[in-house]
Amino acid sequence: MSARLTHDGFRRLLEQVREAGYALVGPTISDGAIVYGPIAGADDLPIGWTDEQAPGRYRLRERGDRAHFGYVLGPQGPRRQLTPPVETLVRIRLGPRREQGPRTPEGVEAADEDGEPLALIGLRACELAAMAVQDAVWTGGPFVDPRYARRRERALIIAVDCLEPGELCFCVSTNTGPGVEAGASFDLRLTELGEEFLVEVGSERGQALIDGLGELAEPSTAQLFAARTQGVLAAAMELHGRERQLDLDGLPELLFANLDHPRWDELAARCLSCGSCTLVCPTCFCHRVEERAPLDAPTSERVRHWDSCFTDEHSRIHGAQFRPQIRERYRQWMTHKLGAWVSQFGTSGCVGCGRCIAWCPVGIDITEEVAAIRAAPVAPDDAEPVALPPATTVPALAGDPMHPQLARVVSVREELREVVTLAVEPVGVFSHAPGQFNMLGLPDVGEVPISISGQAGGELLHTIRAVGAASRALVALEAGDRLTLRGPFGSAWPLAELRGHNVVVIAGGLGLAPLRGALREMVAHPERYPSVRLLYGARSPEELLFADEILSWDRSIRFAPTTAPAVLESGHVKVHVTVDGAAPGWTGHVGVVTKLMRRKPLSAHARYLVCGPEIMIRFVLRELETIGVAQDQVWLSMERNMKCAVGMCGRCQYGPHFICKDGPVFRWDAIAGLLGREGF
Amino acid sequence: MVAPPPGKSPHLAKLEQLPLAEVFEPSHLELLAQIASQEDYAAETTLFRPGDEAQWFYAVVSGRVSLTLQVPGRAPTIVASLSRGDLFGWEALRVDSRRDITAVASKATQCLRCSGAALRELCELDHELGYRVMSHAFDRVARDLSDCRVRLVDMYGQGC
Repeated sequence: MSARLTHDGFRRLLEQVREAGYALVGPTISDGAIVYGPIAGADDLPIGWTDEQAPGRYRLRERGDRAHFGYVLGPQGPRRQLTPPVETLVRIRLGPRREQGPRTPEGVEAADEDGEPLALIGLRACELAAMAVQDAVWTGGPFVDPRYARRRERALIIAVDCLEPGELCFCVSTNTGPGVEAGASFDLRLTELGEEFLVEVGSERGQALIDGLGELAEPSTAQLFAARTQGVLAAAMELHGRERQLDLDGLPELLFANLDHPRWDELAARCLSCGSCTLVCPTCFCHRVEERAPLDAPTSERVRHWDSCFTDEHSRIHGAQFRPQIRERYRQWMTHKLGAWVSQFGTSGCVGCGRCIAWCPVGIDITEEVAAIRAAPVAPDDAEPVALPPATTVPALAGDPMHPQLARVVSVREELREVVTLAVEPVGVFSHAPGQFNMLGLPDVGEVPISISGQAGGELLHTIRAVGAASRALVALEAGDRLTLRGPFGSAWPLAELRGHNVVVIAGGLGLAPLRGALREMVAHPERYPSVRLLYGARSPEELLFADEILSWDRSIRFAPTTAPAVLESGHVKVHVTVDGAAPGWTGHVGVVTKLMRRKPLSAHARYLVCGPEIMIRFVLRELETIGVAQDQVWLSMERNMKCAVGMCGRCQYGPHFICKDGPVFRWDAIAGLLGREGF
Repeated sequence: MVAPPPGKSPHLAKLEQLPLAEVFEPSHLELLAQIASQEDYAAETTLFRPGDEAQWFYAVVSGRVSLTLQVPGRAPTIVASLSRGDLFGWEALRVDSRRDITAVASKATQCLRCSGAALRELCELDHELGYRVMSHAFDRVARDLSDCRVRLVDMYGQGC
């Protein structure tokens, strides 16, 4: 179905949309730009105005006609409405203040802020494409953000063809414009042709709106269709003929093979790391979650804020900055947007809108940067390939993955100085696999990822070192206290794959915690795991984690543990321990865990599990390489700053991987090209 | 090249079983065995202390030796432990050097040891043997240095 509308008809269309209960959102002039925001009706549209764009430049100009959509694009599309820059996720009712210890939660409520459904007016083809990309991020799975999903599902979309592409547009390269394809997600599609509109219907909702216009919706004509086809074709031809193109062919592979290209340094000399490109990009989604705890309110809120991979905080982990240089941040942005996005979300993250070029204060042009790398790739033929992640297979939690449950601390066991194990009783049935982690949190301080270090009946064990505000608060909890828990998240140790093989587990410091569940399983099942060796390094004998338990696994160890061991004894387990330093009287090994590896002949055919400080992992892998262990026989767990745990906030990105959902347990070959590389 | 003396050294068999045997020709092993002696230490025997003349160069045959650093005002710390196949007492390869660390047998331990002067002389007389000794020594020292650098960052200090 289609129709012809005059300006009056179009005005009435918007009135009708409003009367149907939608909040109108569309282009309007504000602060010298065409911004996308709330409008009252057709009069708020930038009638008679256009925008001139060039690298680092955006200006409004009068057109001298009455075109309603005669501009190119404002700085932001509907991203602001579909994923608000600041959004409350949950509210946590606070327990009473106590003399000692952190404030604990008493209840968790969804921040249900379902307002009027949105009517998104005037979306271009590239913006519809961007919305499809955002759909993949927020609702494509394995996790679904219910806030985005609900807004998106309720939104009415009135799209507009682009017949006058701007100077910076390159949507034909990305196959996302200029015309709005018939199969795109819209309720109505407009083509503005002089003083009238050709309207095509894309849904029943759209049809009802046209029907409601009565005689104002005149029959469309063949001339109008011909004019549309001609207009879209002419725009496409013009775009095709331009120098500015983005060749997407093999781009992920090209970029990840050129992580050390000198172009990144040249870029860094121009880039201000201001993050403007990420704020105007219609597909960027990185965010952070903060805890907002008003002094006088009985509730604390978890609030999501837009963030940018160009900020210092975004790549800060445990106080360390993983991407301190601008070159590393730009490289992260571009390799993610044009590279990893494809394997993560099934589509490139670029829709060719050109916003990042216009709004970059120094006019960096992403198409130029790609072309420069493509023209002179520096990757040697035998460069270590960076493996792009496979589609994630992590089982998703039902419901809102950001909504925590209230769990109860059953007991607290002091393991080492400033390290405790919290036994936590979750609500309902909780199933996890060793290697996975939970997000534990408290109001006021927020959440931290903590690996599950075992399960005892219905209790989940979490071993935590007090290093930051949140972990300090968690360590101060007492039996009976409550905390927020989300999980389980992430990948697990490949226990099924290890069956029948000799297994060597190499752990350092607290890195033993994520391995304990897997070790217990292997210790308990000698028929499945014929030989298990644990090589464990710690700072000192006093800082050996789970000492009693691990020593109890090895029958050949003579000295008795100080407390009764768990009944997991078995003859197929050997435990070797080394420390960095010890007081006289210690008769065990002193030295790094790699030295221990050299002392104990290790098989090139065994399977290896590794967890500990990243530097230890690197040295261990080097040693394994020396003895000829293949990369597909080694799994390791990476410690990175998981924040949302569901692959949406972008914080834990490690090259193309989200550690929270592609990891934390990776097979060595998946990340071999990144380990030890500066800026990742 | 120095010819091995007639008759087998009683220490050759022990030497041949150590990992270092892989890098030497049998004739070199024979020469090394000739200057080696076997020493048995009861647990807690001190082998040398800081300031001692660095006379001997050791290879651990069995047991364990701990190297301990004493810092005034702080408890002594074991900074390395040595087991079968490990070599220690490198100072003896340098002329007129002294120990800067304490070596203690932390359990009953057997070592093969040779005089640093004799070993240096052997290396001087047979450069092929000297090259292999130094090359092997360099490999071990480089690994130890690499391990020490890793420990310098106190990697277990935060998080993991």
